Amino acid sequence: MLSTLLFLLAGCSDPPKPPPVVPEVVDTITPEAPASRWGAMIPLTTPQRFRVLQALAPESLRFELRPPASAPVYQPFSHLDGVYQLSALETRELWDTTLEVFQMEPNDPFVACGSDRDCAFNAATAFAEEAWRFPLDDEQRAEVEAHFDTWWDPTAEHPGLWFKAWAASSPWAAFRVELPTAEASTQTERPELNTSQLANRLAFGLWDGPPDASLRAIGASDQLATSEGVREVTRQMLADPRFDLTLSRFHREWLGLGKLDARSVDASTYFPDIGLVCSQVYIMARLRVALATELDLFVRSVIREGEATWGELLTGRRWWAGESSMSYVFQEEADEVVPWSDEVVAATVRFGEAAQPEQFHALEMPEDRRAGLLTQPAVLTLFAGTVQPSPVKRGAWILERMLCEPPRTPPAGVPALPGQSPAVTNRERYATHAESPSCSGCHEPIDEIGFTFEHYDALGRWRDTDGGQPVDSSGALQGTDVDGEVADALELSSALAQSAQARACYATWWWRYLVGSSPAEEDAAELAQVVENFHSSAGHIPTLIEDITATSTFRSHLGAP
Amino acid sequence: MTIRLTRRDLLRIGAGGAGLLALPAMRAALAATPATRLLVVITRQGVPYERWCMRPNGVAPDFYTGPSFDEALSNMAPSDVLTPLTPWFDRMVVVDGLSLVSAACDDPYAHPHDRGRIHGLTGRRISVHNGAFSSTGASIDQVVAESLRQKGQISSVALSTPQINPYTFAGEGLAIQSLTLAPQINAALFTDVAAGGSATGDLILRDHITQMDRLMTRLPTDARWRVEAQRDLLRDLADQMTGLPACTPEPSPMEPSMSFDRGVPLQVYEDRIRAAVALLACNWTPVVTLSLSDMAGDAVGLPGADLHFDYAHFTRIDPASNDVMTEYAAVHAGHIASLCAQLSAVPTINGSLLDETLVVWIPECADGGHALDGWPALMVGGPALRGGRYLRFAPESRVVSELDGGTIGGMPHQRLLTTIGRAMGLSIDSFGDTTVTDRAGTVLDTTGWLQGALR
Repeated sequence: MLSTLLFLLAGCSDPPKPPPVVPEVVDTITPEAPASRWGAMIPLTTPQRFRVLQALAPESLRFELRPPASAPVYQPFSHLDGVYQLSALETRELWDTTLEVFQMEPNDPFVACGSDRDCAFNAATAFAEEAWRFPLDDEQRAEVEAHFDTWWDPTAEHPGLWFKAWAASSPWAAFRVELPTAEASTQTERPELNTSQLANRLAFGLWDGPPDASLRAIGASDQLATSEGVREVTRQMLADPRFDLTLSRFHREWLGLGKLDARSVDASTYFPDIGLVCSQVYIMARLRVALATELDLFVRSVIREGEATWGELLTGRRWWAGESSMSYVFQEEADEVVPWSDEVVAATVRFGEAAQPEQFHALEMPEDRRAGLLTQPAVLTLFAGTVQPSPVKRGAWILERMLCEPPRTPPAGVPALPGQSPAVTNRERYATHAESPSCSGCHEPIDEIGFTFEHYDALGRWRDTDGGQPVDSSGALQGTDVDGEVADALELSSALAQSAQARACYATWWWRYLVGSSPAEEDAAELAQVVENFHSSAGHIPTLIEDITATSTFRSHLGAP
Repeated sequence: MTIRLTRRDLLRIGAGGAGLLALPAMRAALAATPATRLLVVITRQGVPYERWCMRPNGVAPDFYTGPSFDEALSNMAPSDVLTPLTPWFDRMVVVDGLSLVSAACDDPYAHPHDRGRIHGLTGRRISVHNGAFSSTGASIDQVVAESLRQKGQISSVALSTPQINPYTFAGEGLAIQSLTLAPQINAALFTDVAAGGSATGDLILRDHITQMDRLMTRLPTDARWRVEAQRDLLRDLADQMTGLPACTPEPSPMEPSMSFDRGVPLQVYEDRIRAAVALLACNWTPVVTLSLSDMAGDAVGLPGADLHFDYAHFTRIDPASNDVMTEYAAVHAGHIASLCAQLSAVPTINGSLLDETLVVWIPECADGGHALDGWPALMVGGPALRGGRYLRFAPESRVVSELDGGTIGGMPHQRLLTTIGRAMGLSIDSFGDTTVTDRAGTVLDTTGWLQGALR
């Protein structure tokens, strides 16, 4: 596309402008300046960059823009510490798309200005404010002034193209720039963000995208100057549909759903009636996307239409099920589910080059089989082999993600479990762990949690028997604040719903996600207060988020004293 | 086997009247002996040690008790795993006796897969960034890339099949993300932007690079690395707009399955190998890392099998699994042989691309049971190797592993990394962490290189 664009530009720029000369900008920071303690430049993720571009793009093009399918699955919370950077590929794609968008703009205000420089300059300033997402300060205004004449070409068919490309790909646009004032940068106390920076942090935290004009206006006012003001704005933002993006992203990353892409099951066991390998591959690929979407919809329903509590997240039975999972995962339960709403969500399930429509129905799950996040097939299938589920992986995952107590890594040279056999239950294969003193110390608390999920196979389907015997799903919680025996995953979920430890863990994950770093020592008191409020609000999730954004930590710069 | 070039390249070559002499891989004669290109292949599942290693006179191998020796490969019968590489033995150095000692003595919470993955090319301790394991410093391929990189080149390219945990790192916490699927590879490397050029785009991007440098000075020192990483990507992009040689390898074909439910089909490996050779032949980059993981069971006669969970884990205790994983490793040896054949088919003024390229093959863990001792490695190609040798370094002492409190011995693999660096022209006496301290407080020196490997 770019080559086409370059061709068009070459042909349309008449008369040709002399080669642009990039102005030199004098560095205002002297080498002798003391090192800053505070501040961050957080690169936007590829989807966030696309959302910024969508906001800048003309209305008619917005629906055409979509993040590339090749955008990587981010590791949990990787945007915070940048474990994964944008790749060279994404950098290229973003650049190409930037040029495409502005080259195609039908009502470019720069065209209307003709050769009126003041008019074009005003258009350029307005564009930069939108691309950079805050009112320009003196430094940025000077930067626009210095660059405008370089990139504005009133003789070209698209006179503002290169200015827009410059502004939209500038570091001010590609990063969330949180720089304190020179004076505040070296102080030992954590300085507060200015209100425009805070508006940006709220937008990328709660909407996973840029602030709109309304939020930018709030950022330019004093509405965000107090914690109560931040709380009020947060409340409004949670009610906005754009919060769904964060709900989905947070829960997918917290639960580790990125690994779903690498999951597969044994086709002869799970799709025995499907003869063609390509059809099996197709079904699995479609299921991966559909199951993750079902989880998104469930979380959304809990927050938007339910009690919005931690307890409901773990025990709610008002689910959404797509056509593909009704055919391949919930077929045993099909007669027991009942609609809880007439609403049907139509979505496009994309995988690889394929895109298929799929309808998701609001279904209440049978109370003796399914309840809450932990019994969702998207979660259950994450931790399994191709035939049998892995109680060890399921148990270790609960300890790490739900209780913030990650187990130790297994030592090397661990003897293999007995092979799978139709006459042996999955639970029996793991009996070695309990019999060996060198294994049981670590494995007992892990396996005893994992065994409670034995009613769900490697695809998350319900099963009453395994290895020809009735499933034994009994287990126990050990070393937690809700220790005790549990009969199955439903009782486990209920116990975790009551667990103060699990609630504190969930609150800490949200803290990390929104603040942008793990809690530091000096954050302990505020985090403890947030957790306390979460307990006293009966685990109300919107209240938790409001409490976090109202903290002085959220409202202040990243860094260390 | 030769590189497939586009019709445009063939026309250009033909019109030049000089045949393949027109390839951009062509350049002035080497003034010294280092290789000018590096290709590192990393495979998973390891190899069964006793089926990989070779011994004079067919003596049964034992990693810990066998002696040291430096023997001509031609004097020994090829092992089961290395047999496909026989045609390239005279260009090859096989290294027997290495262990990932530093990985075994590192952070007790990392899985052996992560230990091998991160220590393998970095020789450095693991760091944790928000729960994800990363490295505390750069890997050897990236250090080499920085030293070799010319203006207009992409400094390095990481190619892989799916399962994309990174093996290479540009610095602490800076994992290099690999290109995993054909559409990604094509979009990144083989579209018209690189060949078309854009002077204005180049100027804009260079302006942003200057701006990033300026803004960075206002950040705390430890918060600058993320901006540096983005800046370097922009610099690469700007360089590509103006500098890449006009050589256009044929794009990768679409793959039969994007999801690789049943492992990666062999033809996908072949495509990655072809792309790696093309990138080096076109001089688009001096360094390629190629991660070949999770081969489909069809390759070893077990269609649909989960080779990792059902076979690799049992390599040491189940003879049938050992046979399967030996065959699996031999298929990968065939991949290395194919690479050598394709590199040697590209003529250059010094002979062939293989004469200028050091190819290294290492696994993630030593074997399918996650062992970190008896880590197999081999190098082939380039001008610096003392080809045709089998170097066996007997473990001299053992240290206490953090994994299980057991002991582990073997030559620290950092010496292989140092050797790679020296073969590529780096003047280094060590690479990665220079010492390893075990749980008992014993300190192991990891400096130095593999004596007898280089000319």
